Amino acid sequence: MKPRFGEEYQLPFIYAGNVEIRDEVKQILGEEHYATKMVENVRPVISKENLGPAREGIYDAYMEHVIVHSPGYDELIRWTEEPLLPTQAAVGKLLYAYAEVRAVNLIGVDVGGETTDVYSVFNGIFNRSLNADIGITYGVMNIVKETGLKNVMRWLPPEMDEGAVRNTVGNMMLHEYEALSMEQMIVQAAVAREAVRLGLEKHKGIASRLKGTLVDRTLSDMFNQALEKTIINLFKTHVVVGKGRVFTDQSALESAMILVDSLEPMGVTEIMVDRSSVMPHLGNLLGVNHDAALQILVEESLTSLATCVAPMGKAREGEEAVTVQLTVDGSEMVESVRVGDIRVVPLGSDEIAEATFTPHKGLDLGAGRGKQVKKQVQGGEVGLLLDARGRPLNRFRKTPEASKRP
Amino acid sequence: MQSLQLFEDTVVRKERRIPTEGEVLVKPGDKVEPETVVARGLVENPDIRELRIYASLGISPDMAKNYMLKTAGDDVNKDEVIAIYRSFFGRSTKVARSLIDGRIESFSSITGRAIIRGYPIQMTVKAHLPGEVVDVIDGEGAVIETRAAVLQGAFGLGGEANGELVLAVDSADVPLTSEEIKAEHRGKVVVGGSVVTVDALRAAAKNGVSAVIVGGVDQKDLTEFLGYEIGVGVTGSEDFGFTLIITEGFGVDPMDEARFSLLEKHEGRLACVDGTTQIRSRIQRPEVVVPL
Repeated sequence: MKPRFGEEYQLPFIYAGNVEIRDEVKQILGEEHYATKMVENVRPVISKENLGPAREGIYDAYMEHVIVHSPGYDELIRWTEEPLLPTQAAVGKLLYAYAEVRAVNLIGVDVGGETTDVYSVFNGIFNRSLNADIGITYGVMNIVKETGLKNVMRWLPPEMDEGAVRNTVGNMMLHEYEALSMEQMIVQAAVAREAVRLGLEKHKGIASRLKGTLVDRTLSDMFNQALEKTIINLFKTHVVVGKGRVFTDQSALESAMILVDSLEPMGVTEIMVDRSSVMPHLGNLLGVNHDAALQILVEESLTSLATCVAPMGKAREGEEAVTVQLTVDGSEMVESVRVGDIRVVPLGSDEIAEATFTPHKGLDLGAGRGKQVKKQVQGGEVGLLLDARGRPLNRFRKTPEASKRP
Repeated sequence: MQSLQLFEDTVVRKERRIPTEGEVLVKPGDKVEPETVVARGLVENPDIRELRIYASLGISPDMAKNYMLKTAGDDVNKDEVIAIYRSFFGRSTKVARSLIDGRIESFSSITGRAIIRGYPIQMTVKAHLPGEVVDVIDGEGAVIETRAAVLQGAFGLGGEANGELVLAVDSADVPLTSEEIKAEHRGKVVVGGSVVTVDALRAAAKNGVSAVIVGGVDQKDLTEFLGYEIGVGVTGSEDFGFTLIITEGFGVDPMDEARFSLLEKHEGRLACVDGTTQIRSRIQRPEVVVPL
């Protein structure tokens, strides 16, 4: 076999171990075959994890050694004075900047044809993960392979035939359709849910707490699950952003449902999508004009779909789960949702409502069981999504019932 | 939808190379047949075994070097004794034997472990197409040129194959069932219409068919036939006895008339097929080449 980049190519090697033996490591590896870079120890002491320098080292190595070999790189680099960024890095930077400016916890998902990327910012900590070969065109059959057909079928109308779904999925991998048929749209929405769900599962493992150390837990920690393995907390996720073709192919309601069904946010969460596909460009613009990039993101790129209100806890089927009192431009309305149901309350993209949510005594919206939550909520193309189906979801394919504005 | 290529009469140039440095067996101007070996070479065997010599002999790692019968670079056969330890005046004998045929790649006198790698594997590449050698790639292979009719399929399984082109159905919308696959199709490239059934796939394997070209296949049937789900669209290394080329897609899908007519026109000729597919970035589709 021949080395991909030629025999003189030096393999990037990031050493993130004990600083005492750096010289020995460098000596053993030599300079002929390895481009060795020393970064800070990923675990300088047993109770401290320091992943940042190693991550940056890997990223720098990727930029210095891999991306420069991309077809057309030499030509492209002449067109710009700014450094080239891989799409994932640019989108990640942008979402991080957006979350920081708004001081929110955020999850972003990019459902591509071949990969599904997940980004998160929780309490200022940024993580990104990539699920290769999980996507809605080239990677679509792999979604079925990974998750199992049963998991895809649960998002489809019961009358859809399993064999037909398999063939539709297969053909979505083989052919690049300019426009999807109704059946393909339904299947695409189902596999996208599984792509995001698989992506989030993987991401939770990456965005994790320190492993292998003994952590003292107080009684209160045990009750509020403050020391979960992952730092992803869907109860404390304020904003969800969806990106990718599926969110332009599908209707606003279906797009919102894809994100809600797959991520299962709890409490009060803004649901947004990027239909402009300029996020990677804005991520690059950040380095040149930070404010302009964020302004374009908010005004031209992100579209508010809904604010999802999903209580956690236990209540009987059919009981009133949440009652919401909304004040919009001086007019008031009261809406409610029963346990097991999901419904939409219209609230336009340009409308901001003062909302008071009163959950059932056994349910929690973030302030404690049965405790009211008062919040200013942003409308969207869908409106206010009252989701009382419970978590984890055990009811699937439920189309929200829409209520009429008085 | 992206259209797949179809050429009634074109010049095909195929690079045929081995994935290592080796010996090229043809020269420019040579006439070749599909089975002509173009180049050959040795590649490193990926089968590597670690042998804990000290454990087999029941001694400490640093002592193992004293009892070795072979050293790094020596060839060994499977079960051949490579270290021996006798104790109690020869009453107790313990040995370490090679796990495979191969060569001792290394032995550490500190850890008492030996690495044995299987013998290098002989790789050859055949011409695949009948034609003429128009160029030689030093130490790697050659470029074969031929005039041919060519059509691409949407998806394939299995690698390169060839045989006489035979139509098993009368029209592009007729399914290919097990009844149409007969013993006389052994070594031939069989053309079906709208879909191939799972029984027909089994019959093709049983009867030694070289390849099947058909409009569609039910994805569920294909999974049942293969015994596993296909994930990413990277194929070509499957080994179920023949090469399968799907021209349209999954499900019952009559073969495009132009493709069916082309295959019908060349019935009886040699067809050289390759099921290798790489859907990612639409890099490679399976193809049927009928030399003219």
